[in-house]
Amino acid sequence: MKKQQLYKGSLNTIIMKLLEQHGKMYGYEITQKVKEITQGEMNITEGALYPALHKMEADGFLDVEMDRVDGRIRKYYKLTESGVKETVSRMEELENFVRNMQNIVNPNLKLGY
Amino acid sequence: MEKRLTNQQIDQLFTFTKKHYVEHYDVQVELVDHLANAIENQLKENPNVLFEEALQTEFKKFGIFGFTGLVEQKQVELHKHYNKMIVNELLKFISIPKVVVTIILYLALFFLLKRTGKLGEIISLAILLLSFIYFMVDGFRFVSKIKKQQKIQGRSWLIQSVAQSVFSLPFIYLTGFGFSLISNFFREDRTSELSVLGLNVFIVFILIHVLTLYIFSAIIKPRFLQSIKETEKRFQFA
Repeated sequence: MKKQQLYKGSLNTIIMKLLEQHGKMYGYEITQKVKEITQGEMNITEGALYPALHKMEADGFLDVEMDRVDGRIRKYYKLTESGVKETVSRMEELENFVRNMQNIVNPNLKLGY
Repeated sequence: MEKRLTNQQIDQLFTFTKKHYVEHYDVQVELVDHLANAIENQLKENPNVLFEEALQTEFKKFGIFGFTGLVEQKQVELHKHYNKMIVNELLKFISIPKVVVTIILYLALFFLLKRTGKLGEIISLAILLLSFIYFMVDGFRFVSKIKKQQKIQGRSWLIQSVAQSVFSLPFIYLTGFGFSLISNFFREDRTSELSVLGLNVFIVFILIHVLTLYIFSAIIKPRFLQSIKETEKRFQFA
């Protein structure tokens, strides 16, 4: 369970990236998608997902849309214009982070690009 | 064949969220859909699992505070958003181009108060006091209008609760602050006019008061009304 800690700081970026790729998604779908991509390695808890989504909605990065699916009302999230811009800058940050971590963890490995 | 929850079970989920202190319909809807999906998924993996058990398993995933932490956090985020908006709008009055308005108002007040002396002070204090009352009554009317709306519709939206708290907290603060300032002015039996420093402090106070009043009624209130309308529109088909 400890490894979840490492993902924590990147939760918003992960959500934004998923929304960028898939257009609109609902909360449960996001948790399942992350599980699927990481083959169960990463598990976004409900207690973390919704606060993150609501914060980004309040910050104007996400827009919401309601839809009726199977007789139920579903709340979809999608990126706003400023959300798209934010995703780009956060992805850059994340990539830098990954690169730096790689250099620290494995300093002898020269990446071939 | 995937097993879907029945309408009755969905209703049960709505009751469940209400029982766990989620009073706003928009939040209830999102949580109900989430729980329903998660329970259906459990049923897919293990068709023998009981609905109640599955629900408890999913509820535990929301952590020890259950839904309340989630609702509060959402309110806090939105409140912060509106507070930021108020501060940003105020800051606009000390940056170009709106600073021109501020300077003109400042100079006008300065010369007016300087010229009229004690009488001007008293008149402006009276105007401040009246606007305080107007401020309060207007805020009260706004909040009760929202309450009435909720009663008619039989539902409440989270944004409405944020509007209510944004419109009641600063009023309490501002009026408290304002009254203490005004009573300070009257406490000492002043016969002389305000000193230059006192005059400037007084003008700054008037300006902040007037600008905040303007921002609340001309910017924040319409923004809230629009957000509430948008939320209603989103749910119209439901």
